[in-house]
Amino acid sequence: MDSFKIMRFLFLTVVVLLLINCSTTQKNFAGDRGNDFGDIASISFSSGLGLQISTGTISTGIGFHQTVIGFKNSYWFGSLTCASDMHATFLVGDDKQGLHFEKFGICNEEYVNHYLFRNKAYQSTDPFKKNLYGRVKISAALLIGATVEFNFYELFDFIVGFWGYDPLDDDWNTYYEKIIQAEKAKRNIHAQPIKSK
Amino acid sequence: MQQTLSNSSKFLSSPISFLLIFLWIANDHIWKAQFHNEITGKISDITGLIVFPFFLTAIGFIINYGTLKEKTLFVFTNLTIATLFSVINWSQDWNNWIYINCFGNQNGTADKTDLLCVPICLLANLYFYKRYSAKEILVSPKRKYLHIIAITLSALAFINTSTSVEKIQPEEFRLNPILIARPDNQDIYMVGEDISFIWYTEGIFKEFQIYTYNEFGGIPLKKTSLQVSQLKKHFDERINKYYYVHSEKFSLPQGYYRLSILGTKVSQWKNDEFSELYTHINENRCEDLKISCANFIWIRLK
Repeated sequence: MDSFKIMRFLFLTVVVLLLINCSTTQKNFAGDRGNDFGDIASISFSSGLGLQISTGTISTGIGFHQTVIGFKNSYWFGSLTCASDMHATFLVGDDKQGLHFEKFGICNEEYVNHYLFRNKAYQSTDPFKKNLYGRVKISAALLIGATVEFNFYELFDFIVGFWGYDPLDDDWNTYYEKIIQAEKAKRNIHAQPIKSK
Repeated sequence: MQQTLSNSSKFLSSPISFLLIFLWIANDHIWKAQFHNEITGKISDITGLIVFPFFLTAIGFIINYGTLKEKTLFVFTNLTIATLFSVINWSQDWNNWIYINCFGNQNGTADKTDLLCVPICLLANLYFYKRYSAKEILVSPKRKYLHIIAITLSALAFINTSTSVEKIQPEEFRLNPILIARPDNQDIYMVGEDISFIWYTEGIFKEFQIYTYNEFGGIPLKKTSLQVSQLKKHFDERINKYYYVHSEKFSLPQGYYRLSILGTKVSQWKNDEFSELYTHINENRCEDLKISCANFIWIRLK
């Protein structure tokens, strides 16, 4: 089978699966797939010093970086917004050992939706989020710099999401929809999905 | 042939070094407590950034005698200290993290103006290193004692500066008192349809009230009071937070509505300290010692 046929097969599979799932919770399913797609890669501009490379949870290099503005998880982040991203490494470290620090904090309601409810925000004292195990991230700065990140686990999460799986627990629309349906079922009320905006 | 002192040892046993160490200790012990201003803050930084790299180089050179060149050690210690100093002054979060990991406390305060000391001190160190490398000082008993005293005092000064109690600022994830996850802002419902509320909170409340206003605010059109004892608390394992769920029928006419959830406290909210999020919420509406509320969300009934 040549690559064109494979692509066509994948495309048709995606369309069929979308149609099957759309019949019940259109907004939620499509919204979560869109969010998952946006999680795969990110780019940002930072202030800081040095070079850092992170593969999964392990980071190496010497440096510290604070994102000024960037695009991640389908949304803007950085110190110019209300979602702050910081990371610093000295030689080598992960979340438990060595000299490594990182956090992704939020400071208002808008960002709570995009990052906290989607299970993407974390403090330096929190255990690493599952999605960080699949990342390859490079940061370089000499007062100003940049960070690029590609996440294989997020790519996997995006693909299997079409079959209804959510290994990274970040399909927040579907998650809340299930809670609402369960609550309504408990009240013996015919459950209806939330209408699209 | 009599041995000569290493360049870092020559500097450490010099009068300039003793003066700097004296300033460092006196400042941390006396002046900071008495005056606590910009000058006392900078004295510790400047003296520490000059003395400490020489101290580490001298120690490293004694341990690695013959293995590593003194110049290499000197460059490495200067760059390492300058980087760490920059990191701890870049943000309070990094400062807390380094202090906890290295010194077991959170006594440091990040101050970006301290970064100005870095290039000044690096240049000063380079100057002193060159100046003392040009001098040939032979090892004598007097010099040896001065060297040992200088190293001991530098170590004490460093321990003193890293454990001095100034301020304790616990790092904590400061969540808004009540965060509404559902309805989502701008959701659309049919008139008479059940609306489900999901809200997260870490506060201890005795009652929640759901207020519904028209699009212009003013007097609430609808108020639902919910006793906490009647609600079930759920745990969201994904984000490690507790939430409540409540559904109710909305029989209001078509239009746009603003909703908010207000909680009446049974005890003081645990994050009563200042936070960015609190400021944001305060600009919108309520926050006092007895009640907390979530942000407004907009919904449409059609």
